[in-house]
Amino acid sequence: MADAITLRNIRKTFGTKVAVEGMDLSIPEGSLCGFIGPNGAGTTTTIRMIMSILFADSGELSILGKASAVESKDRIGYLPEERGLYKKMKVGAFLTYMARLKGLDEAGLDAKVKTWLARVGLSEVLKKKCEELSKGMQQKVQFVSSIIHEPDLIILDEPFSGLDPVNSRLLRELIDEQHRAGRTIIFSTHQMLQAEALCDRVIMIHQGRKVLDDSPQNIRSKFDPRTVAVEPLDPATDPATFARIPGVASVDRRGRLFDLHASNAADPRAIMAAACAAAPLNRVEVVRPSLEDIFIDIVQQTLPPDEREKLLASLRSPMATLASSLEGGGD
Amino acid sequence: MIKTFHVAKRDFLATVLTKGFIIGVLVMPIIMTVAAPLALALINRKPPAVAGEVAIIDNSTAAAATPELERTLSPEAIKAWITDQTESTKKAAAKVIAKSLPPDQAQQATSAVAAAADSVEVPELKITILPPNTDPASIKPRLLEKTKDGEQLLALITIDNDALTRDAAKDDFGTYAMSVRARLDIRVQGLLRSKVREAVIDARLKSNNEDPAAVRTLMRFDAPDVETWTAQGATSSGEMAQMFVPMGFMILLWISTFTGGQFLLTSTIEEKSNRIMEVLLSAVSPLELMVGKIIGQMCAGLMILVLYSFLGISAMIVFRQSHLVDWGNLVLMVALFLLCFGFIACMMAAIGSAVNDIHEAQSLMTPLMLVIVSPMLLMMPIILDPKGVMATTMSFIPGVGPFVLMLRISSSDPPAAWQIAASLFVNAVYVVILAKLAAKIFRIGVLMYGKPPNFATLLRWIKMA
Repeated sequence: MADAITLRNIRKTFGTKVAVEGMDLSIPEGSLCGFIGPNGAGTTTTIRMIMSILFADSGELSILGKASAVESKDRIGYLPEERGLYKKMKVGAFLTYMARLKGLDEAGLDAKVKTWLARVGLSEVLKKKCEELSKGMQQKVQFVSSIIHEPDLIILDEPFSGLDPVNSRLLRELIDEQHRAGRTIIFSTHQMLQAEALCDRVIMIHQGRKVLDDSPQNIRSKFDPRTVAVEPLDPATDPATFARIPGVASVDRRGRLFDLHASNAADPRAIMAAACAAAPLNRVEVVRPSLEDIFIDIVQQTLPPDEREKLLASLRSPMATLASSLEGGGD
Repeated sequence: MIKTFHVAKRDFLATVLTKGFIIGVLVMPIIMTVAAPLALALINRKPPAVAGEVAIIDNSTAAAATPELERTLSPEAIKAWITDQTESTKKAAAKVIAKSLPPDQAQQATSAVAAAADSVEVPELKITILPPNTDPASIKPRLLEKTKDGEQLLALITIDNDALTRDAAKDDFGTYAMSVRARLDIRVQGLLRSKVREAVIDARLKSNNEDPAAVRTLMRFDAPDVETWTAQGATSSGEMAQMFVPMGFMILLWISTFTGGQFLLTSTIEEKSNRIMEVLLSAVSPLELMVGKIIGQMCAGLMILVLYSFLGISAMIVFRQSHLVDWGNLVLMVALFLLCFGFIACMMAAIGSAVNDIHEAQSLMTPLMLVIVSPMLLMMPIILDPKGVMATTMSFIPGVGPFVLMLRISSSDPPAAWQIAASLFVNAVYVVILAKLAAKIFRIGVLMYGKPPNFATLLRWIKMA
């Protein structure tokens, strides 16, 4: 399958600050790819360079077979991180205007606008001014403006930020629908769970560099699980019962669960068997690392301790929000 | 190209369909058509009735000016003088009106002017002749006294002792001194100056055994009407009108250019602050966006230019002054508008893209405004000497040239065709260069938020882009 996007050794600086360095990327057509990274990691800059809104200092790009997105803007849908609407413009007129800029003909455009507004549950706002809409409504209008011309490549910069659980679910469905239709989709997010749940490909960016690029499954499999979680029948079981098992380096308690961290040489399967023998258990399983764990693990190797704590805090905050939204959405 | 058209169309409609534009553009002609005649009507209203005393100290030889002063300042003489002035005004106004308006309208206008002129009140002045050599300082305090109208001293006139007979040691005759009460109506002051002058000159003539009435008759000389001979025949010359036409063209150019430019600045800042820029840039290139916005606002400015030109020329046709318009200049005015607007618009687009709000724009606009208003400040010298070094040099200064050229080509002594062509070409080159620089700033500026840039930053952006 041909690549929708190819980046070769891309570098971008702002003054003395290096925003993106040595970025190599190949995104096949039809893939749903997540860019993840903390604030300032370089995801938005990379996306802007893909969109030819910013231009790389060095390196090569190929977007939908062209040397720059300028030559294929009409085949690209883009939802920027900085959302914007003409406040005084009516919603229908705004969508029509954006569609015309994206090369759609006048014929049938009104019907298309109405159909899409109905699809996102905003039929009644067609003749309302954009400033009269709630933030969530505005975000849905912006999403519609980015895909109304049925682009081959859809780039969404933090599409879920600011959305409530119901609208997050609707947006996920719409993204999934576009993916099933064969479109290439890239979206950036700080929310690892979101990327894990949606993407068939995850690209992690940290300090302007790509640090991971693979499917979520492959990424997890590459990171050998080293923790066994056990839930004894008796909640009062002494942690030392499990600490004595050969190969267990340490034990952490998480409510009713005990995390048995294996030493480097130990086999987690042997620890599972020994744990079953040590005490009657309700549950025993190998803890698979989440993308968040993996990302944090990678980042921790490059950051000083105080910055590491800040990063962990910034990552955990949206995680908690997202977890509740996923539960609320019924996924 | 089609995308540029869509951007231009949106910007044009978003501008001209706003209440601010509609009211702003319509209010100006309304003010000019309603308020100007109203102001003229108010000016023609009768002055306040003035009553009071005028004290005269006649120090002339043998107080020979006193009889003449008593005669020229008598109520009958004052009334006759005012009547004479009024008739002159009516006659001059009737002449202008007859040339400017159709007969039926001319009749109405003449009647209105005559009624206004006839309503002028005659001041009730009581003349008191004080003994010669009275100390004026002893009288002047009365100018400060507040007594009831009719009794208060309005003015003290002191005739010099050599006002009638020239001192052998001097080249000229003496004159008179006049002290007046604060806030005395200037028309009364004018009346007093005129009548005292008349009395003193008549007294001099009589002392030389001349008949003042005969001399006045000999001195009377009515200025002839000057006609301008055109292809359509004779028309009135109107030196002042010839002066106002270049001013009118220039101001028209200025208003239309700056209105469009101002809208471009505010719409660019608004789009940036609404964070719509990045959405637009995903669909169009920065150059397409900037050019589209400039064309859209240029159409808005052109609409103002055409509308106001139409109104102005219609008024000139109604007032039979259309011969003052060189129709070829109208075509040139459109070309000059494109150059003026191109320059201003590039500056506004660059500034608008670089700043976060209108307040930040002010600091970058100040130097630009200082340059652009210079033709307004130097309008009179340029009109009076359109082929002078200053006018010629300014025709080639970026941002100023088209305005100056407008003044020059609509003046009574327009520059040579080659100079016009050269100025147009040079100013077009400036616009192209500026457009390239502005596009570079625009491309970077629209995505920059936070600290507003200074000129050094803008230069760095130009180098970066």
